[in-house]
Amino acid sequence: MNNQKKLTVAIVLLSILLLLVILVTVLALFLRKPTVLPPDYPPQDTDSNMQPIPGDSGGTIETPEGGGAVNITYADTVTVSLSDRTASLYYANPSRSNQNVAIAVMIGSTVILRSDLITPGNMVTTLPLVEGVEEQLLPGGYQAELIIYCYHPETGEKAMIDTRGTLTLTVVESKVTQ
Amino acid sequence: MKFKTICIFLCFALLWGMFTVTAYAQTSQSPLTMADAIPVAGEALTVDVPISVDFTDALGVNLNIRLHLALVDKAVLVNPAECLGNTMYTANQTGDKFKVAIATGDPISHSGVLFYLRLTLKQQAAETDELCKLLQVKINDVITWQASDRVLIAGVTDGAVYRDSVTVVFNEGTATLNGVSFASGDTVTAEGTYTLSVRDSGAKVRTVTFTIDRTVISVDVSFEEMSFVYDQGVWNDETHQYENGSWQALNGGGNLTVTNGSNVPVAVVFAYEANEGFETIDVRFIKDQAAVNEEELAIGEVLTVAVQPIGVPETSFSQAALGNIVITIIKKTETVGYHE
Repeated sequence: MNNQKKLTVAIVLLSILLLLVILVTVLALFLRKPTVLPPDYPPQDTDSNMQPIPGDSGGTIETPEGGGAVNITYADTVTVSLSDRTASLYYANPSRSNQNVAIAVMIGSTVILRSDLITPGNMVTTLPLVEGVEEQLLPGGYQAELIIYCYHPETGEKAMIDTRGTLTLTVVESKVTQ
Repeated sequence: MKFKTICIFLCFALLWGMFTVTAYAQTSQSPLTMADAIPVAGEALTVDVPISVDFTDALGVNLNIRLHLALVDKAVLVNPAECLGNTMYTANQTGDKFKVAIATGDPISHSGVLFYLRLTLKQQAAETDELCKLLQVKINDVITWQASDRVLIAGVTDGAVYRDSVTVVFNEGTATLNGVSFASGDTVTAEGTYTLSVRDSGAKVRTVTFTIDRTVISVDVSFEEMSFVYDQGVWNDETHQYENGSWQALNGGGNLTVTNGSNVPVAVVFAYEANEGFETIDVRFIKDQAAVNEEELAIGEVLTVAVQPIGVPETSFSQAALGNIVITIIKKTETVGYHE
């Protein structure tokens, strides 16, 4: 094989490899799930799992003029049941808050749970898993993050202060009652 | 020379491509695998159990179904007209016996699900796949199918964490909880991690582990108006730049207060995420004239910090959202009582 032929074969092989890499890159770019961004204005609906907080003592947090106040109450353990694709958790937005909230639970960059609006005086103890996420979970413990977005109850505008908390998320196969 | 240049170019292109592929592989969700889901039947405290029986040319069929009363409160037929059609039947429960009597004028045959029995449970069954094992079915006093001899446990699920007391029920045998004798129907109230072992008469042992954790994080976050104005300072004729620019909070605002109402101490971590176009501006959190990023708050402790933007805007702007303040709450381990 002369040098010209070697050159041609080398260029063809490398070009094929390059085309494959470009193909995979394009697929990676277009098939990747989009990053979840919190909306500046919240969903209009209140969460269907929302229920009144038993014995909510009322009261108000002193709210500075032009500012806001929110109470963030949660249990730092969440149990996910793979069998019914729901999570058992505790998040409360007591009536002394003056903000609506929406919460999300993430493991790394994956959103596991997401609520609609939770208005003051209400709590959630159950949330469904985000569609398809059960395929990525195995029984056992995960370190997770709770993200709380606050929204003005009248304008719906998102507050510039986000709050986060650390959670221990336990995945079990069977149904869990709390 | 031409050959070398092309090869070097292609090699660089391949390396770039491989990095891209590697980066994608690290962020994709493929490493986790799917766990098999167990189908759930019924609502909160009820479950519909299919009763399957086979018979041929029968003029009358009597089914005696034994209920485990430790777990089941009552049983009724679900939509019997649909299940049994025009067949004459009676169904009633006496104690732990649920009897269904079917009589026909002509011989009938059947195979598969004859009807569904809706069980009302005394408490949610821990493991849904076991609900079908709560029954023993006899046809004309002959056992055709019965519950597994596996110990049935309700009230707790292996691996689960509970925030309230749990009442644990099992259908047979003797049990220990963390090595101490434990009776069916007893309630566990104290926080901690527990291992329940139930041993049946056949010496089969079933073990579940669960945790009661009443830790509740509760913090009040209040914030003043977070509007700031940037004063670009004085013009320096020599450097042709503004100097000594500063930020001022409008309307006396800019303070952020966090109150720990939890039943545990917490750490509060402050961070700032700039919006696109305002990356040259950062925020410091000032307490007692010193910058803080993380503070530990004892139970009931109040922390107030002043939010202080720093940096010079790249362009002039008006009424723009510069970024978000992120407050992260981290539980510290000491637990003191229950506080709501």
